[in-house]
Amino acid sequence: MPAAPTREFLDADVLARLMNLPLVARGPMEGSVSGRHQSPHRGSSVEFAEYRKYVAGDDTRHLDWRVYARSDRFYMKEFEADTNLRCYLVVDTSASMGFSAEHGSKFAYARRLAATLGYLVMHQGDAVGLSLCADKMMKDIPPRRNPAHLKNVFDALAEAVPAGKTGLVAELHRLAEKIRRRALVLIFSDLFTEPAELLDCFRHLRFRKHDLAVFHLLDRQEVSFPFERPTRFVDMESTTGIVVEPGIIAPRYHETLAQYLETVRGGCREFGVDYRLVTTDQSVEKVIGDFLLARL
Amino acid sequence: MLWMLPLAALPVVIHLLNRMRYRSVSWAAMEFLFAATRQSTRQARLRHWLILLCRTLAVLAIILALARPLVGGWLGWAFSGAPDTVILLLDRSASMEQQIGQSPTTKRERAVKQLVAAAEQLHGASRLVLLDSGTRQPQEISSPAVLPDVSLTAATDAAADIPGMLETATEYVTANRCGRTEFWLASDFQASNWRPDSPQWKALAERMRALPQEVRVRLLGLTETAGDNLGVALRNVVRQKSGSEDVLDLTLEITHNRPGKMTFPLAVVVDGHRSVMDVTLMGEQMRLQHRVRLGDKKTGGWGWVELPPDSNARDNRAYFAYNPETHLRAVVVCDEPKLARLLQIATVPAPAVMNESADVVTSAALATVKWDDVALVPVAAEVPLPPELKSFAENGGVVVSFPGGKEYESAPADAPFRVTTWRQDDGPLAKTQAGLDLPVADLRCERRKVPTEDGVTLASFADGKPFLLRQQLGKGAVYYCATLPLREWSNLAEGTVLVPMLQRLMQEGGRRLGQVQEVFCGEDVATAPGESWKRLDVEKAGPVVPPPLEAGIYQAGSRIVPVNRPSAEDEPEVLDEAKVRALFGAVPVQLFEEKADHGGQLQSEVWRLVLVAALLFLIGEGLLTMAAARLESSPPEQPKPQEGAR
Repeated sequence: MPAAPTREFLDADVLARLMNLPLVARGPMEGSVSGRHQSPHRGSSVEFAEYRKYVAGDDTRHLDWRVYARSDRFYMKEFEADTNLRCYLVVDTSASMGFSAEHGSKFAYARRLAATLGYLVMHQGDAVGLSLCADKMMKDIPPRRNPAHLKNVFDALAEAVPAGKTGLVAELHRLAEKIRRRALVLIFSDLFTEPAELLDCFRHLRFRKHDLAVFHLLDRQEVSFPFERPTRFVDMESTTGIVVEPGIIAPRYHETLAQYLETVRGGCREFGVDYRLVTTDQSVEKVIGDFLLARL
Repeated sequence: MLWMLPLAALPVVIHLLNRMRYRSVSWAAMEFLFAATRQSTRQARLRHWLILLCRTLAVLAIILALARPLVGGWLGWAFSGAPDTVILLLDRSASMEQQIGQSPTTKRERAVKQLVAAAEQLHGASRLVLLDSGTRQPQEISSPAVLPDVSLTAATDAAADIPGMLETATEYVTANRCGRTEFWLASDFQASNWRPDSPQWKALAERMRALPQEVRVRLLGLTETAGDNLGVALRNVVRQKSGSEDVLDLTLEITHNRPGKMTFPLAVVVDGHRSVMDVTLMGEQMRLQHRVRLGDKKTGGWGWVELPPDSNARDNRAYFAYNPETHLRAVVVCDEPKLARLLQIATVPAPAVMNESADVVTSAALATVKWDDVALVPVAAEVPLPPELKSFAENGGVVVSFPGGKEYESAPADAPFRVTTWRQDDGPLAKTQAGLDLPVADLRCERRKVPTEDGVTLASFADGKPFLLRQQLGKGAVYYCATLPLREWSNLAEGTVLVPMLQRLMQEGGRRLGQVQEVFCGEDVATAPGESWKRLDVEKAGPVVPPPLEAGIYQAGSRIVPVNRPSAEDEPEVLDEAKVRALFGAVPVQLFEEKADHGGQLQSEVWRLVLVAALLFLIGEGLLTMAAARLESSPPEQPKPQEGAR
């Protein structure tokens, strides 16, 4: 009998403190049931939307009789519709996410972020789905509102192991085509791929009216490049290695990294993507708290 | 400490070890690494190589500083510690008294100063031996500080025998079984002192190289161009009758180291009476005839000629002495009466007024001749010379040998042998006091017998064979003439060449009869047992140990000895660096030519400079490292928590 998957990536205290903060979509969502998120369709909530002229076939229950009494004309009174949220957690499980320094691997950090946010989403009655992507899709769990569904998501996260090359670009394109209704897509990745291809994915998702948030995860070592002695760096996604003198290439490394980050950040700004650069030495609670608060 | 020199490679070794001992790191952001490696600038690599270079040089400089280099300047290469023995070879020749540039310091004084400064850097770790060109006696000295004060470094008017000094130094090293030895030789590289053509050099270099001790030579060449300088030398002093009175004819040679016209006062001091005349020199050299009237004076005397002070005080005086009125006697040795009469007349053409006489003897009667008062012996006989004449020559007499008449070489018809080359500056065929040539070119020889003896050719025929040859024999000389003053042989009997030639040789031979003995400074001079030497031209002069090293008038017993600097000291030729180096062959030589006035600061404590250099290298390394570190430690992107773009 296999051992039960652990839930060490969930911190009860963090969940308790974040429980009262809702995850709000930045645009109208299309859900299957009524919820707390704005819908693109007119509904029956208490939130007034607009007046429009009556046309044959309209439900006479929504006629504003007071306006008719004053103007002798038929106007329909419309209200905002509220619906539920469909949240897709896209976690990069390529080998590069397994890079680990002092504060654990990027994948472990991504797993904690995804699990916590998934729990919060499910707790506020929205649907949560999960995509684990490497060069070959490892797991694809469609969103469900059923709290029991959360177990599937957590199990998948617990069992995932970072390996292989990144399949983020292909997976995001696939999701953009697959998800027919507006949804919230949360991406947890180090984004080590071609920026142009990556931004193309983001544009694709945004074109399909999805709300998109990116948690760009980097290890502190990847940012500061603190090496001094000659070091042989081995690619985690292949067997390629290179011996370098860090003292010589460090300035150029920093320049290249800065250019890359600026490209990604600029692209996200252009396409309206909620971009968050996160290093793994930061507090998960604070990262999620800031994320949720910013969306209120 | 030089064994530590390989430590200079330590930074490189550490760098290579670091590169070899790299650690492996699994890395995710490989694309950035590849891009950074591709784009890594040359400046960054260059900076890192410069850092490595600075570190290496700093270590090297520190090691060199710890090794305490002995001295600086021309001795600055001495990083190997103090040698066992240092032999200071000092050229004290007259030419070293030349002042350096406009400074009143002479080359010798500068050399002594620099040797002292250099030797002081040894801090007593080496045995110091002074070998000067004047005495050529190695003398151990207790401290370099005494060098300027000892008489062995004082000025002289003598020449220097540089190869001889090195030979003596080499002998000293062998005899005293010295350890590692260095020769510190200070000289002006005057060619006449170095004698680069001497075969002695090759043997000397091989001998130095073969020494079991390590021997190095360090040369300080004081070759700076001299300032304006006039020099005077006496080429001939003749006392003779002129009418009813005696006169002293001085032949002076004045040289100037700058071309051009120059007028200067020339003082002539004879027996304490000083007279001054203005002389105009055209060009760089002139020969001057000056006649001093002695009146009815019958005794000898002495004096000097003097130039005004200039950049070399040592060549401004030339000393002379003259004999009392002396009867000169010649003995003509000839078996042929006619020829004997001719030679007798040519030797003493006017016996009534010349205070000279010539006797004729046959070769068979040679044994009966008393040679004590004989100055010249013209002899017409087959060679070799009889032993009596050889003995006469060895005691200072002059013999003129003419062919015996039996063997000869005939000239072709209408093509007599002619003399085309002869020495006109010195010797029996020199120019007259009036500067006129003897009519040697007018000689026509129908017969000749070319002398084959070893000697110096004074005149030669057109085919290069000698006409007149001088062979030094003891204190005197034998002159060999190739023809006879007979009509069948030549027109020598006309007397225009023969008479002045024999007269001059009579004067030369007569010097041995007088009280005057001309000597050059430093020249070995015969001294009678118990004979004391005293300088006459200087008041309160103490006794002098011969040979004298200073020019002047000396009295040795009853003799008057004018001592002058050797004519070789007036020769301007100086060896260049390449020639000097070549003389030493494979012996390690370090040469420094002192051409500028460094105010005596040639030596400096090199180790301090090296330490400063080490400091500079370390500062450079620090600056480069800081620049590199600043670039490395300031990444352009420091992500902020929850940085977002919406």
